Amino acid sequence: MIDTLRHYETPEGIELKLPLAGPAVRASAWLIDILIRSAIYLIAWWILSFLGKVGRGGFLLMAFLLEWFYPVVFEAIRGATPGKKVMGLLVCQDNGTPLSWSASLLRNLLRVVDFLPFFYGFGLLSTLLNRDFKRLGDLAAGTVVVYAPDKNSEKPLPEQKPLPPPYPLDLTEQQAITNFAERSSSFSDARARELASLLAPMTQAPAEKATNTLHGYAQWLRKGG
Amino acid sequence: MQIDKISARLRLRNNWEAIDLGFSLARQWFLRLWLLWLVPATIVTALSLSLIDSVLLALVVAWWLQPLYERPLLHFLSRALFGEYPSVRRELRHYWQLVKPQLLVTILWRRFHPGRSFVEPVALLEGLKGKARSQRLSVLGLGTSGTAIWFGLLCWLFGRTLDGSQITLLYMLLPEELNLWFMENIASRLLSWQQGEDLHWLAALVWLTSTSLVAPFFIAGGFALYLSRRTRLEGWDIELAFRRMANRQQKRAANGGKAGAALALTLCLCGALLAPPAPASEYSKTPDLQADKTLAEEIAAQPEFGELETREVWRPIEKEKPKAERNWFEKLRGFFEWLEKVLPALGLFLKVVIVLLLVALIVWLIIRFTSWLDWLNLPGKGKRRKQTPPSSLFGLELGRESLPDDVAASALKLLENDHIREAISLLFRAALSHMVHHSELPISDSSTEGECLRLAERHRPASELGYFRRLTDTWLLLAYAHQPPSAEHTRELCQNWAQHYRDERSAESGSVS
Amino acid sequence: MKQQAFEQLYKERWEQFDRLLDDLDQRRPQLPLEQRQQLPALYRRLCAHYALAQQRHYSPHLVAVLHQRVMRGHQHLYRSKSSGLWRLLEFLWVTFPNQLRRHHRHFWLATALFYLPAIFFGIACYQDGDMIYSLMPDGSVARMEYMYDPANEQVGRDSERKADSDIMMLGHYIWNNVSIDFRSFALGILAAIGTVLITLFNGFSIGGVAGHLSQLGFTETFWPFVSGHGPFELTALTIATAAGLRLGQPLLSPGPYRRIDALKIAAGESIQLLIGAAVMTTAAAFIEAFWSPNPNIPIPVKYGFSALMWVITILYLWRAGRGRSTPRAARAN
Repeated sequence: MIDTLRHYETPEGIELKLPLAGPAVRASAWLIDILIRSAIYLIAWWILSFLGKVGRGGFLLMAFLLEWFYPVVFEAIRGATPGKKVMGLLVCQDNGTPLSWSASLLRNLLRVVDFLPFFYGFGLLSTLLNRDFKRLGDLAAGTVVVYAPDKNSEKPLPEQKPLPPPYPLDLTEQQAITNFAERSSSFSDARARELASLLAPMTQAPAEKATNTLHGYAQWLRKGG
Repeated sequence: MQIDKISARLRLRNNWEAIDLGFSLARQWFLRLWLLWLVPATIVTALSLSLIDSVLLALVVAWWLQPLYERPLLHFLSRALFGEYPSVRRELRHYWQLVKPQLLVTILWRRFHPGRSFVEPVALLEGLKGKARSQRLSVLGLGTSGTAIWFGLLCWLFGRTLDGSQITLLYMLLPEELNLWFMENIASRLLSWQQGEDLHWLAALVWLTSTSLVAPFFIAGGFALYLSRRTRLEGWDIELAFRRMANRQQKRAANGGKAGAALALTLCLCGALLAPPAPASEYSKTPDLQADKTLAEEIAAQPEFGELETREVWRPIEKEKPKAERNWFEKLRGFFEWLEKVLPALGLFLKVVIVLLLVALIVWLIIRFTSWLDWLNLPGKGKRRKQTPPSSLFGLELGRESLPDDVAASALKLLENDHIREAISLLFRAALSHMVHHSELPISDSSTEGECLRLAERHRPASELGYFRRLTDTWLLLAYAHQPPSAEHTRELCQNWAQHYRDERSAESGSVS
Repeated sequence: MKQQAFEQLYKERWEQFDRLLDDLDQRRPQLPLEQRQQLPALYRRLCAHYALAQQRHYSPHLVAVLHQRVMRGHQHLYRSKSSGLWRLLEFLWVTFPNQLRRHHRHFWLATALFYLPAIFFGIACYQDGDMIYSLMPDGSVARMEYMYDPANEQVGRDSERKADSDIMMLGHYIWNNVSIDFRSFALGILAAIGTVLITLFNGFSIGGVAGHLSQLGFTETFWPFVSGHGPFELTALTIATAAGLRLGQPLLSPGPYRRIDALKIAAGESIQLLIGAAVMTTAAAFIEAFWSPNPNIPIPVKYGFSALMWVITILYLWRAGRGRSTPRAARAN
């Protein structure tokens, strides 16, 4: 099965899923970061030019810090640069824990190499070839870029009287039924009926009612058996 | 299309995740996709270069016709996703049928749609045209077309990054004396897009390389975006899960696990024979054809029979077409003319290849013959640190105090009492103890007999080594193969032991006491 | 057990876990130690509950919520420690010098790569006034000559920067010199070849400049200027080079590891060398901006200061933190 999820098993035997982020979305994030930094440069140049020579030294110092440490600091403290945040990305260690300072420093200093020979040529090739979309800095620092998990909010289910399923369902099956109920409003009626009719052996209901029966199961499952 | 044979995991993804899935697909089948793109592209580029006088114009034509090379990729992906892997050869044989649908619009105005890899599946896989197509697109593109367009632009940027990388690498590989020449004759002219045939050959090569590398990812990304959109709209993931559930329930029913399912099974298997009595009497009462028909309809309406199913099949609009006669002679001549033009570029290409091979060779040589680099691996104080000798090895006690004063004599005594094993063990133990404490061989407590022997080979004189080897062999046979040596052999070992080890030991013990 | 009963039973514990994590997230310093120490136990309980919920086919929502809690706990329990100010000091005093001494072979190799060409080419340039032109373009040579011309009002600055203030130069030096460190280091990942080349080049150019200027008789200006910051700056550059060599080593000679694992180990060690080198370079930049160009300090004082700096550098790298075990930070990564 081809998928972009990477599984990591913790020492406690819990399986974590890391949804990896590929080169396209990361390039977008990088472009946003470039825009932000350019804006900072422009503003700083304008302000610091009033200060004369001291200002120019300050500008160089700031440029140094911004070029080398902008991603280091943001990724170590918040897990993502502003650009990555906008794109919903997060940098973490291979084991899913937050980035450490030294890993952040390493992965970002090695941008120098990823940048070669021309605007992230090596980095691009590396992300295209590596199955975890890692660039060279990621490989060395043991980090991955993933999609930030979204808040697990309950989506509303269609109103229906709760109905117990005729036999116990395992987790994936429960999820499928809940998923169906949550999303049925986005399907066309015909399609919803077609999907529901697949479970005819279980619902024992004619096609028109099967949808509602499944919604009933979903309500019952959400309340908890 | 058999959805349960799908080779990628279907789930709800956001647009970018969908594109990433496309990248994974492209990586999975990269070689085939790359060839599928490269073969027609190379042919078209070569043709246009040999047919059109202006090289610049020829390259623009080759660039313009990009959708022509991209379509087979899309077809391949749509098949490969469902477990069918058409060969590159087959795809190329049906090339024209794959490319033909809505060809004109595709290379005219749709050519400049940056998100065309997302839009194309509607035309090519669903075969929709005109209004139906635009309606379909407006549904599919809701909240997605923006990403698709941006993604197309990104892929274009990726291609240009690779262009730049190739040129820069070339520059870096050239010797320094040529740098200025390179800047003046290649880089500046490439940037200003001046006329010059040789240069355009280089440009064509660079462009073909980088665009062919990016194209599989571009097409697969767009296709995956399309796929994800349809998964969201049509619940393909749910369909898959429901089918599995239904299968599971059927198996359950076959096992007779649940009462309800078992009943259904019984009805199914021997419906006529074991039919419940009440309906049976009804049947006998009403031999009415009309009633039978309604009954049949009722039964057919029951869920077991009433399964609705819409199958969607993607098929290229294929039509057999008689092969046109070709003028082979003309082709051949064109080919030779083309060859004449290609040769200079080929020379340059070969030069680059040779340089790259040389670099690879040097790197390989460095890696192969740099065992001397291992000295960097040694821990800094490793040599100076004195190892504490192990107190025991493979279960044998090595402390001096555990040994008798006169080892050989004690061993002989043991031998006379028929304790061959103990005798050999004592000799071996004493020899090891001697090597560890007296000769100070760097034996660690995890060493095996073989490792001790190898250390002795390196550090001990030949006479002692010969004896130690015999002793070790005897010990190994005895300890692990349970083959006791003959009494004479053991006696001989006992007598010789003193020759190699006793002198020093007695001298040392003399000095200690 | 019914799901509702299950939730009822453990709800309080889960909430306790949430509260603890919230507190930890906000890094409340007053959070007592006993409370922090509850985390592992609570986390293990939670993992057990999560596994039970899955096993017993409880509702997907409950399973998802528990999964999220487990994730949060995992991130707290297994995160690498964050650093504070004293950890920086500990790093500079213990970890960095120890790490360097552990890699003294790399350091000496880097020293040889840098100083041998520097001395060799320096002597060559001292003997032959035209030698420098084989390495540098004419313009650069002229500019450099102008910078150290005794007729120049402020030594070490070319015409553009002549009148600029020291702070301006501080920014410039930090930018320039630390970037050189970083580049020497990062190019090491290309099987150390990049580092070797760039170091040889640095050696040639610095040695060449020194030899050329001495040959022109600018000794009064050049040597006092560079003597102050040289000890720190050159040593730091050598350390950065050593770090680059360490980074490139796994590709050539991975030892008993797979290359990728060797790379991870090498990266963790070399980054510590690099951080130390960057700090030293920054310190050198302060000297270079405020001390070195000051024309009011007599030359003998400058030389004395230089000797003092060499002694400090050597003592620091040789003795600092010796005997103290490398703290856990050294093995992080």
